[in-house]
Amino acid sequence: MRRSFARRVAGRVLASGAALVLGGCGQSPITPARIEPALEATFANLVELQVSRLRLPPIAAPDFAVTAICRKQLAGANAGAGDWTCSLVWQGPNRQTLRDTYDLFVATDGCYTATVTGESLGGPILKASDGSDVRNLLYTFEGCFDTM
Amino acid sequence: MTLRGVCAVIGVERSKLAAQLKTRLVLAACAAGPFVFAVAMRVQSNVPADTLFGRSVTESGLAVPLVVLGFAALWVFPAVASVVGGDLFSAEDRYGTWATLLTRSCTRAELFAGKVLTALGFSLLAAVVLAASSVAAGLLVIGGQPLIDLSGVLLPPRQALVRVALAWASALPSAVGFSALAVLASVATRSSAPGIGLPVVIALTMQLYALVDGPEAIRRSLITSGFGAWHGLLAEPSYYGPIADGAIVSGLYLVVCLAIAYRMLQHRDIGG
Amino acid sequence: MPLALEAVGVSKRYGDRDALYDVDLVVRPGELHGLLGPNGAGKTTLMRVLLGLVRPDAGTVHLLGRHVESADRRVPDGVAGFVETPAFYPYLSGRKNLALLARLDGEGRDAGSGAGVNDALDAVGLSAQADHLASGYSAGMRQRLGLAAALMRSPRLLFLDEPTSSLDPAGARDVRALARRLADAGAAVVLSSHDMSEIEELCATLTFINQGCVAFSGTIDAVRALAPPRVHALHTSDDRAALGLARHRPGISAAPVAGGGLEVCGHDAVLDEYVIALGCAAIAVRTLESRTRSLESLFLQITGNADAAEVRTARAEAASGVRVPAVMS
Repeated sequence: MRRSFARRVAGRVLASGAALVLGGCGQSPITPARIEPALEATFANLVELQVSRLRLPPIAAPDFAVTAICRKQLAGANAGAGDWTCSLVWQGPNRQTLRDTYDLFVATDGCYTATVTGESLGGPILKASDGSDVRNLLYTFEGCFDTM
Repeated sequence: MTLRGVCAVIGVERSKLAAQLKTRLVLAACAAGPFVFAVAMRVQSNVPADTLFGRSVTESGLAVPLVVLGFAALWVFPAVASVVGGDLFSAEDRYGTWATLLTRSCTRAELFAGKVLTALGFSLLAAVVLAASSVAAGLLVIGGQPLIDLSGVLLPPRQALVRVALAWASALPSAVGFSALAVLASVATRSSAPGIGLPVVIALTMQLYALVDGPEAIRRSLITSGFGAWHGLLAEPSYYGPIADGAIVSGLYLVVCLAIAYRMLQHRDIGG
Repeated sequence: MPLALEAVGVSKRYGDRDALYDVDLVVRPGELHGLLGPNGAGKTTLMRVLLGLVRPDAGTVHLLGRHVESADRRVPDGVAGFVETPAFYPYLSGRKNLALLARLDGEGRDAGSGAGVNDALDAVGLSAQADHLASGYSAGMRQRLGLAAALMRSPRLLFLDEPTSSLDPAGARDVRALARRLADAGAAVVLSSHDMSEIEELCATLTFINQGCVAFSGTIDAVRALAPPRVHALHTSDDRAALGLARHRPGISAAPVAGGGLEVCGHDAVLDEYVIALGCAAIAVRTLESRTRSLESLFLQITGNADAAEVRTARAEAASGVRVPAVMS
């Protein structure tokens, strides 16, 4: 009785392990289909937060209508951890269409660090409307997405 | 094997640990380290920008425990698991005390279970001390400001605190799994140097693999992957797949490592 | 009354070497049983098997009437002992070490202040140093502590492996007295020692082990009955040459003695011829004294020239009760 129970438990554990391993076979889960939505949402949320910190009239994140297109920097398959370049198109506070480019480093666990190229979004520190210094949330930011 | 016997062994191992300087030093470091870090962040301008939430560490005290968690995953959990779990069995070889223990009224099974539970318990205790200390250090030194999560959403302090607590809790299965690995190293090598060093080396090797864009299946089967599974708790919407993954992998490591270690101990000739 | 210890057919092999081969051992309650043998004979391995530290390849072991299963390997209540110099945790005091061991035996958390620990420390004369760290203990103090750890189990079967090897004469005398008291109270004591005089003084029964096999098992009186009780202590001008001469003469057995001289055994007529031969070989006889044969010389004769195969053969042909190795016949 005890032996058959142990065998059943061992069987379930091994089956879980096999499912785990087999489920991870195939190409890298780090693809534009995962990076782009995560980046769009995070960027939009940070813009909303930044607007609030700069004491500007509030705008909700969806209103920025952010669209991202990402490509891996190295030639070859457009998938996997490493350096990526993402182009963002979004509606600014004055309804103007803005374009910004970010360099991303995406780690194997789906976490990334995005740093803006150029100076369109300002430097690391910005001045709020009351004159105080505020960290530019859009200069460099981090995010993570599900790789499963 | 009896519960009473296992409890007696746990009591003995706990007394032995309490009498050892290294144990007290580890717990003291876990208690004091986060405060040192928080004060350092408060008094100088450099932040750990290469760590998740490192940039937020001067803006919200609730980022402190997350930065410490990131560091703990790399170094602290494997080291703590090794220092106790990697030494608990091999210390008996070092002191020559196996015969002293095995000529009392306890079986090898009871000794094994008691020591393993002590090793696991110490890892959990160190993690809890480190977590509590990190939260206290962050709140007291930096403050309880809202926290920007990994999707750019500003979390109110109370909600952020809950997520921080859950993040630490999600790392515990991997800490336990690592302790089992350290126990196996201790039993197999019968020497404290590899018993302590081997799990740390294994952890570093696993961390190195995680940096490389290798097969996903291998990355998911590494016990260190579970240490970073908490990221999903601080994203919108939250995702829990890596946490479940990490728990399963840790469970597998626990079962396999302890089964092998148990068999080795049962079949070993002491001093023969 | 059941036997205190019954081991039948115990064997243990390491690689291509038999550490123990078909060893039988029987000890009754109240008996002080000596375990003798040269270094590497298998005495310590046998003790380890009996205490469950080593799993035998064959054989059965009953301790206090209870069959000790290999799978279980819990030392039964009432059985205690130590093998070689006992080891303790150096960062704890002697008292704390004993308290932890008492907890493993089922005593409560405050076992350190209990009567059991204190009484055991008193019995071995270690009370004054009980609260010092074990790292500062001498080998003799560790042996006393090992004995105290064994006494805490109120042993009815006690295994002592060279318990007085690191003790001063007074300490050794106390340990021997303790062993005798335990045996008088009904406990069985198995004592392994290189000190023949200690075995002779304490034990009524003994077992010789040589190259993993039992070369002899029985009473000390039976050992003496196997060979003439009287020997001669011989001192010459060249003991080495005298020994060589004796080895070529049938009917004479000679062995060197620690401290100088030879122990010579043989009938009077053969002895006379030997003394004459010494003179003819220009070896002067300085003293020739008759004395009672020591256990040591019997032991050397038993273990001296026998190889393992001879011992096994002799054992297989032995009569029940007292085994007669081939070398003794």
